[in-house]
Amino acid sequence: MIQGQGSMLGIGLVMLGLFGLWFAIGSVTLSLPAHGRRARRRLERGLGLGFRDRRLLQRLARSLGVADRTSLLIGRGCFEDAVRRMAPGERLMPRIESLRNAIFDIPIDVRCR
Amino acid sequence: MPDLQDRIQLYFGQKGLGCCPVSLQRILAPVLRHGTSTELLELGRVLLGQPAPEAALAGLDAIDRAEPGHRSRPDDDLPTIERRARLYAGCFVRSQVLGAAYEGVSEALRGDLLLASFGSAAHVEPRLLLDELEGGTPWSGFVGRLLLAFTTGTCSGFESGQDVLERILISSLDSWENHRQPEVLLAAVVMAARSRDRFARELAAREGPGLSALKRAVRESSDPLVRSNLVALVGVRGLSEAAVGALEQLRLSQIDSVLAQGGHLLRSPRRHRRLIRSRMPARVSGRLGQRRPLEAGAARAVTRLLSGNDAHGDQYMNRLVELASHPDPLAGVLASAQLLDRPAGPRREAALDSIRTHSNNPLAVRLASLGATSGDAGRASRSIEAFERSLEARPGWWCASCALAHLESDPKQILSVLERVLEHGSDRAFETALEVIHRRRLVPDLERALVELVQTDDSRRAPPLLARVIRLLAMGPTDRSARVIIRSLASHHALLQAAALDAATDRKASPAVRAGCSLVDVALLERLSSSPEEAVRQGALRALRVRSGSRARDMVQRLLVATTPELRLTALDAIHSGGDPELRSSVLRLMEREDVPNIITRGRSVLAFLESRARISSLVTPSEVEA
Repeated sequence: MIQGQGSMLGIGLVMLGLFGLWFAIGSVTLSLPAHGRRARRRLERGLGLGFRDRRLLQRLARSLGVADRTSLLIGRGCFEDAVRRMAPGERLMPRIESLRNAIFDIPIDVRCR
Repeated sequence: MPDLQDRIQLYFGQKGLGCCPVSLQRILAPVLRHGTSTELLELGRVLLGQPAPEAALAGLDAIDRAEPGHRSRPDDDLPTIERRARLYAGCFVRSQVLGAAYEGVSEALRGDLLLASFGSAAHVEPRLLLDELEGGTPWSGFVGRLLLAFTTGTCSGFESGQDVLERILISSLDSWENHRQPEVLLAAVVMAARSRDRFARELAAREGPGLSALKRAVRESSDPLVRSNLVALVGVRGLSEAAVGALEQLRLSQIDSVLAQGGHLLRSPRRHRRLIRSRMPARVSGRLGQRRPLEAGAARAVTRLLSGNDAHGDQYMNRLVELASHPDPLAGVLASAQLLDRPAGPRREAALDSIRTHSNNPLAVRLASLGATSGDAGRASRSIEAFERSLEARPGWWCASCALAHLESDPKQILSVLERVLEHGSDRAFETALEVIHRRRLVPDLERALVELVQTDDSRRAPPLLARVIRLLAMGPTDRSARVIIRSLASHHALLQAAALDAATDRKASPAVRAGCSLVDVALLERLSSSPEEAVRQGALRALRVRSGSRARDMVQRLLVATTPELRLTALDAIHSGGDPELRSSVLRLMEREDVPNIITRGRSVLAFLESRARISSLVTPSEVEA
């Protein structure tokens, strides 16, 4: 009986150890990209971009072959090249124009930060 | 583009770099690829203003990508920014490389490695360093560390010379209030301890917060760089008092390392005078009262500190007597010498007598005997007795050094001691005596005693010791040694046989032994090469190789096809030590038919060895050989 309890305890400890290892690896792995994502969110919030703007920006980034849309938020040349490659229709142009203004032309309101 | 700065600021966050360097590279790569020259310049300027080195590197990249026409605008300070960026970015790249190579090391260590690897590729401009320091920029900490690295010599990027570095350090001390970098103080300490008088003069002529901070650092800092230079700083005019204060405040346990590192500098009369007037001798005396012995370097320095102070004469003399028995021979000698330098009197006599009676350091005893003013016939013999005692306890090299001193003054005594030990001494003393004989080349003087040791049938010495005696006899001056060696070839004991073989074919043997042992014919050596004892086989093959290379090769080939595995193994060992390339095919043939795992493994390593030798010799062209 006592032997049975000992083996159960051992198995429990091993399970606990494995779970701890999994948790440690998972949290480290997930925190790396999250770090960059937080910085991008901060920038997008500061620029006053809404959900639809962010989706449009992501589409533009994909047309340029870039995974992270932050590059388009920082470099104007990058943004313009993305627009050129996307070749948007007349319906999308006004939204792109307003996005361009929001990112590059309208000074950032300090209160937005 | 008025708001790029704001966007970057937002992205990096309030504290500076808000993301990891990998994502920064990923984000900026498309920006740099698609940006216009104006945009790239602006980006570069903004990034260089960020405190993180990763951002500086990216900024430099951006500036490099901009077209040259845009870069040379006369109205901006881009060249300065670029120079700065190149300096830091170069360092950063190295730190990245080092970071990859030394993953897991601490940041501080990585920083040190980075500084150490910072080579002359980046030419550092003195003005730039000063600007950075005085401007109190985020880089001033780095510049402080760089200055320290230049001063300590761990970094060779500074090419403007020692004088300029001294001037930079003086200026940095003047502008101390602006930067308050502790590394600058450390650099000034090192410079003051190592440089010529000019730096000290400049320091002494100055006043202000920089110099006060420097003195405080000397007095209070526990940095090893300051501690190791404390003794040197005692001689620097402006910092002398602070250094003496720091030395007086050291804990007893810290005195050892400080004196071991800087004790040799007490030879300077100025430092010596200054320190023996302080509380330092008393502290040192207190340290000697502890049970833990002083380390050698510190013990040597302590003897200097305990001299020349008559206020505590008795106490210090007792300490010097204790030091005369220190395990470090030189410390013992210096302690005796310090006592001899004191004015003659009953106290000094008593101290010297105490050394002569109790010290186990023969050199210190001898020195103390030389300084005796009252005649005592037994003193010289006491010194010899100390030598005899040391044969039991000390290593051979140590006793050989002592013997050298005695041999100059009284060779007969030392030879009689050695003879006595060879005859009746313990095995430990016997072994040490053999080493003394070998090192001091005393075989011609002690040949008779050595020969008798081997000739006596009921010798109480162990065969390994007798084997050493036989090897020593190779230096024997007469044919008596040769006869003993040849007789030992027929010994029952394998070790003695092997030793006799070595002695008979020793290249450094005396002419008499060489002539006598020429009687050992090659046939005997061949017979001994297949002896059942491995040591004999090895010795015989070695001897055979010396005598006749071709016969040795034939013998090895015969052993390679022997039925006994031990013989084949010996043959492989002989090939390995001889390195004869002609035997390679024989080894290959052996490997084809061999089935003993040991021999196969050994054969493989021998083959690899022969192949590498052949490869090396093929690299040496005939013309090089001729040259």
